Amino acid sequence: MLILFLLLAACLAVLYFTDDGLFDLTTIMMQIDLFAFGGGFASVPLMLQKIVNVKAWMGYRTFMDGIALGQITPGPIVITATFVGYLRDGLSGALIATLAVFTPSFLILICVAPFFDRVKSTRYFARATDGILASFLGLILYVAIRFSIAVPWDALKLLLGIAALAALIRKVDILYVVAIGSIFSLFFF
Amino acid sequence: MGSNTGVKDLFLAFLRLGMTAFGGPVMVAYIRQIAVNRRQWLDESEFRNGVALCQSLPGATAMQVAAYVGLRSNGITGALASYVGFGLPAFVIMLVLSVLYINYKSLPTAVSLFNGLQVIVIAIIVNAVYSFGRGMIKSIMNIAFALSFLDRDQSLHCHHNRRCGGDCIRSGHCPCCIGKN
Repeated sequence: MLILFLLLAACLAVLYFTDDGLFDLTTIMMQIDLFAFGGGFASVPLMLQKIVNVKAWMGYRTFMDGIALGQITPGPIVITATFVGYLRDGLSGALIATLAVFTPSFLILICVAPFFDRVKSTRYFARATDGILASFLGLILYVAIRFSIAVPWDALKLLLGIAALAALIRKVDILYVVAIGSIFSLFFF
Repeated sequence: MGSNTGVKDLFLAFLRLGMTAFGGPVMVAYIRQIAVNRRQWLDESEFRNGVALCQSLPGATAMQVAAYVGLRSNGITGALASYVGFGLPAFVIMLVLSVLYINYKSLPTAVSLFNGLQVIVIAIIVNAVYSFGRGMIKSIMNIAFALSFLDRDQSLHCHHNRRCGGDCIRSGHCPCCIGKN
């Protein structure tokens, strides 16, 4: 286990000294991973903040396209990191970003899993997770507002949006919504 | 339970799972089907403990559960095998899509497609706000309701509006009036 950490430290050191841009990408992605608590879209607000607001690596609409692609792909939404990495720095960017966004949580799991039973019962644990989840509502509300402002609306888009929302609320599978929405877009936009 | 064939099996099984890994919590159910029912890499209670753990740790829950299954089955090598196997399809597909995006995004077809997809993404996020918000509202209402009990019980006040724990009502004597009658 120690070997893994040393390996990670070594890789980070190499990156730091050889390519500043990639190192930057790595640190951002690792931060996003470390704060991706709670299910589903938990990581999106932080991704938005870091990638678009803080680093200005892309605009809102490109980021939304990345999220859309993340919906189409299997796997977690945080795979958008591959997209961001590729747009930043080609193939190596995509690879590094993906590794960076998955390694920290993996290592944490490996280290904590044997001890979980003891940790689970401490009251700090319960409070910490409650607090993290409670702030989530505000965060995704922020994302919804930010995304909505970035899109140039018209009547047709509004119609599509409301229809999609209604479908999702009625528990229609996301994949169907995306597929039908795509076909609709191809014809009407 | 560990052996080298085990690690390869883990990788391949999760590779296949990774190709259809849509809809977070649903994925966990599929992982359970393979890991507990079909392959018996771990038992039901171990799995459930694992899911609870993975939900409370950072990182995508489904990926973490995949790693957990691998860890329980074949140690760190197993965890690596299942984690990488599960994430590889997503990486490859996203990479391909990113390349296509860069090269073709200015095409009118692509523009049309993404114009609509952006709206769909907003709908997905608003839905997330809505479903998460509903749960929160219930908690907030619970808290407010609980707080409202703090000073509801008027019977614990005597006619002088002092709290006396109901003593004066029960005994007929008001402590604040003792000696004054």
